[in-house]
Amino acid sequence: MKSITFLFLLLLLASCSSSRIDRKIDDVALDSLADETYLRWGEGRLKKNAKSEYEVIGCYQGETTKTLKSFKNEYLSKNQTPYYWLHIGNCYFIKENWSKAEFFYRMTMEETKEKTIKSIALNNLGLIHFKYEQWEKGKELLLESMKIAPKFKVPRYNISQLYLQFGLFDKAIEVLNDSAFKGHKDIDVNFSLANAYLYKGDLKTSASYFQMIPRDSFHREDIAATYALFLIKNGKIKEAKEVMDDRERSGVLELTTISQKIEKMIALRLKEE
Amino acid sequence: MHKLNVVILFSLFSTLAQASAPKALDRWTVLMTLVSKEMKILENAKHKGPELKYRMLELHSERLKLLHEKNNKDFMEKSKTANVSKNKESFFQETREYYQYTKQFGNQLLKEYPDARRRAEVLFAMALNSRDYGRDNITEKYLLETIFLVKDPHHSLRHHAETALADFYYNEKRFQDAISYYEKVITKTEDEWLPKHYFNLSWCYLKVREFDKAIKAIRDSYALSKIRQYVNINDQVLDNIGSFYVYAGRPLEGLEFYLKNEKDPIPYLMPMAKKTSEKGHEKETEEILEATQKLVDKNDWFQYQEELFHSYLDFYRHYNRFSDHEQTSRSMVAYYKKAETDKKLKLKTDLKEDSIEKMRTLAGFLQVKLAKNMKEDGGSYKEQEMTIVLNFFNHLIALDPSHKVEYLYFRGETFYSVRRFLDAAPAYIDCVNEAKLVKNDDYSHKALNSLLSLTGMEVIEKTLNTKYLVFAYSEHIGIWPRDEKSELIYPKLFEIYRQAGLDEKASIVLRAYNKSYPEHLTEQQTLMTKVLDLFIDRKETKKLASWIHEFKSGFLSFSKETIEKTEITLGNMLFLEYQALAKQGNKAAAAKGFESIYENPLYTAKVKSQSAFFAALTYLELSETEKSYHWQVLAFESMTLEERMSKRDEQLKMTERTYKLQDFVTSFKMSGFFLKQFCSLKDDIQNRFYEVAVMTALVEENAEGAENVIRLHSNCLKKPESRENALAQLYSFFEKTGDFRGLRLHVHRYPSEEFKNQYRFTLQKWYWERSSLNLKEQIRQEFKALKNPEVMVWLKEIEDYKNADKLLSELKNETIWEQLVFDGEAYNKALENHLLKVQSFKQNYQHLTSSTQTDLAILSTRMFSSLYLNLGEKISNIKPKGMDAETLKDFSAAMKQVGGQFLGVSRQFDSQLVKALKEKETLAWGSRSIASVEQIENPVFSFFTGLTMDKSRED
Repeated sequence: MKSITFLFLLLLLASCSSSRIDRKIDDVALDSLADETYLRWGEGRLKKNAKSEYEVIGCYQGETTKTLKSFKNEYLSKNQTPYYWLHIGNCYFIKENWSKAEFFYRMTMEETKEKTIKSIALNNLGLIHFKYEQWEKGKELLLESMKIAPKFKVPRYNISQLYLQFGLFDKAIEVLNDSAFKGHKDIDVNFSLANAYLYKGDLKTSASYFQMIPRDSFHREDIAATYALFLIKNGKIKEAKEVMDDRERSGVLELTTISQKIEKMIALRLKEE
Repeated sequence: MHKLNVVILFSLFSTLAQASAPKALDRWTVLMTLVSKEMKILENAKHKGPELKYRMLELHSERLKLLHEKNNKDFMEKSKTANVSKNKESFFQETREYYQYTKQFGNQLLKEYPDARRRAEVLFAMALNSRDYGRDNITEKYLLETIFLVKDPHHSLRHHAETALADFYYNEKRFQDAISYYEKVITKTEDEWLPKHYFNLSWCYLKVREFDKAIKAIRDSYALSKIRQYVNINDQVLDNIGSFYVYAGRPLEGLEFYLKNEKDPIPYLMPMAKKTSEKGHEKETEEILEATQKLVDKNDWFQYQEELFHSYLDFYRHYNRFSDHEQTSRSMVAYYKKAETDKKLKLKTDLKEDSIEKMRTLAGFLQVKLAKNMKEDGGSYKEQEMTIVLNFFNHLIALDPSHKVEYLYFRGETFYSVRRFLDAAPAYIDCVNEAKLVKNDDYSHKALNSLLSLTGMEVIEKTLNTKYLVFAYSEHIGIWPRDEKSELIYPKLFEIYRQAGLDEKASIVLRAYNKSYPEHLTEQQTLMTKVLDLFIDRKETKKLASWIHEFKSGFLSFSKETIEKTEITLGNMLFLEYQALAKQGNKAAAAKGFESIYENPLYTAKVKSQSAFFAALTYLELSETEKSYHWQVLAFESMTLEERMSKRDEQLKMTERTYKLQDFVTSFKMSGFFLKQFCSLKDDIQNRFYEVAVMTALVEENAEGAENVIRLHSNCLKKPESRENALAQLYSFFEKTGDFRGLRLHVHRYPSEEFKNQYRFTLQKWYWERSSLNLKEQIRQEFKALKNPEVMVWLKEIEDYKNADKLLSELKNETIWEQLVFDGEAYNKALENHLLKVQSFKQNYQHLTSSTQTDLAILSTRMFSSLYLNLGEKISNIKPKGMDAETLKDFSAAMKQVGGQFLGVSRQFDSQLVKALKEKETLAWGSRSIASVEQIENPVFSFFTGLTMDKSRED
């Protein structure tokens, strides 16, 4: 009986685990990338404002299998439409079936002549390569995406994330300070800048960007972890603990490991105090 | 020799004759022996007087009689087996010769003894011998001489001579002469043959037309016969007396005589009726017959009924009373039926054949008469006569079923003769059917010819006429499949059926035509094409399919091209319906339709393959990829090699479409299937299937499947680079998925230089990026196994780094000065020692900072930065115990200066590293360790935080 319970727990954990962080934003004002990606659209926004067709939205509403079938059934009528293959790829991306997502992004590249769509596919392919930890290849794809369609914000944002990941904070700041993001209130852009300045050691500027992030978003594990480090850096250990305690666990293994390290450090510091 | 044969034959005959009638032969032998014995005795007598010689004449006469008897017997016997009438005299040669001998003997006797007492007797004997055995016409003369010599009118010899002379005249038809002698003879009332003489006399009167005397004489004969002393010849009298009355013109008196004198007069009444009829007494005849019938009915004398019927038939026929004849015939049919069904009655049927013949003859006669009248009367006939004829045929059919076919034919002919064509045709059909039943070709032929002639006249309403024509044609070719007329009929009959749309029948005719006249193949092919056109017009797909099977099995020797063309037409017809359905949007129904065609056993392999292929296409359009594949395989199995080849482009497109419909598993199966089928072709299509197979396997993360394709089907490729590409894809797959074991196996299995190079860098990357110690150890082992010089350097560096890291910890943890009492010299020594250790560390490991392993170089640089930071901080912060405040101040200032230099070195390492990383935008894992806050790595991971795009803002 005990072993069964354990197995169940394992299954539960496994089912909760994800490769990505859920970052739904309900307030469109805080989503300056809203017109390029549905990925952060919350349920409410999807229902109310999404102009796209059911197939696209369905995937973001958790109905990937059903939606993919719907794509399949509309092959004849839609396979020549510009976004058909791309949206299938995105649905597989959401389903976390990377090889199929990659395949359909490549199909998009082959089938479309529109630069914008090629750019989108390149961006998404770049992300897939990040999944494969092929950073350079991913970067190349994102740069190509940006080159083809310079006005797109998402590829810029994505490459900033790569820079952040590998400690190229100035590069990240440079990218995020591009005119494309001027006057924005975007949570992730602000968070990325806060993160970049924090890791650069510029706590003041970091603080200014943290202040632009709505309080609710501090529950997000990546933001919580970064902010906790910011607080620690500022000697606010207890506050850091509160932030960490209030975080919503993402289930992303790497992030969980970092959070655990932070919690451990907080505990140590509190003990020292 | 001939004689010998005769003897042998005679002996044989004798033996047989003995077996059948020994007594008769014995009697003859005995008599002959007796005659011979006595003759011998007489011949041996020394003194032969007239008496003795007369006796000898008697014996000669007796012997003559016996010889004649024998000759006659031989003649009769021979007559049974051969026509010997012409040679009759030869049989009696012995008789004739012995007669001459006897005659000479008698003449000699008369000559020797002209006045002998026995002269009259000798003459009488010679007269009778001449009458019975001779040809010399001396009978009358010798008898007259005898009578002349015997003066006594009561002498018996005279009576015998007169009787013989009367008989002689009677036989010579000299009736008046005969009458004169019979009238004398009958006066001898003691003669036991008196009734006979009266009877002969009555005939003589009859012949000289003295009927009253004749009737009286015969009636006397009848009366005398009843007297015991006389020979009874009543049978003869009764047989003839009726005729006497008829000849006398008083047949009813005859009837009365019989009825009055005979208990059962029927045997005499029927001949008398016949005679009466012949003599023209119709009414009287009818009365006699009616009286006879009454007797039969009254006494249940059914044994006479059959004969009586015949008497009636003869009577009616004689007076052309056909209706009565027919009525009697009808009664006879009933009679014979009764005889057959009720055997207990034992009704006689001996004359049945005769009855049939009579009816048959009359029916024939009447039929001819009818036709003749029809001609003569300008196309009219008597209905009653017609009915009689037809009734006769019915009676005949009933009585004589073995000739039913004949009567049926005659019935048809009868109708035909009176131009009742509507009745004639079915009659002929009945006849043909019966003829077939009894296998009578003659009547089949006759009836069919008549029917053909009739239909050819076109006198019957068109539809009906065609019906009869079809019958005639069908039966004709059925009975005589190869026949001059049939040869012409086949195409005609075919055309009738075709025009009527009766394709099945038309094709049956064609089949028969082909069987009987294979030499007319071209014409048959033309006709068959017409049938096929009919099927096509009417969309008779099943029939068309059925015929294609026939053609394929060789029927009508159609060319392969023609058959194929027909198959294509059939396919088009079959598929049209479902293609229309599909076009209307009802693809599921269309697919089912195609399936149904495939499953129908009637259709040919070509049609099946096409239908299965259409099903596959339709399912694909329905996005039901698995079903599509299933039907694709079935289609393929039914295709010929040629068809398979022609479909390859489509097969490829369908395979591609399958993966585009997100079904990579099925697409993988399909590409593998086709790849295998056409391996030897090694063309662009094969290459593409190969690519699709590998690609789809990898999309499904089925590395084993992809590897199998590469391993098993690379020999099917046109371009070998496809294999290289596939291997590269597989490599990339293992690399992307981080599958060390898979990658290792792949590189070992396909050990190209390119892979080996790539491999070591991949492993290097994984070594530094992955946290698993187990994996790190495996990679180290693999590095060792690779035995690559560069990798060996890497290994050494890794080892050095490990040692350095360990030593760094030790160095960092090492305290420079911790003595309780400050000793300047000792302090300097301790500091020097520590710095020497750092120096040594630097010397040993500084090379790691310029390693080609980016991560290692970063980490090593960072290590040195850390080392100098630690050193600088340690030196700056040394506060020796036991030192006064002033000294300590100076000491600290000096140490901070020293420590500061090391801190500067540390920063230098950092800034150099940061600069290098920035400049090169290095995305190595090692760089993350630099970018830490409180030694915590950045929680930002580009993949987790990155965003996919769905649209552009312009949308």
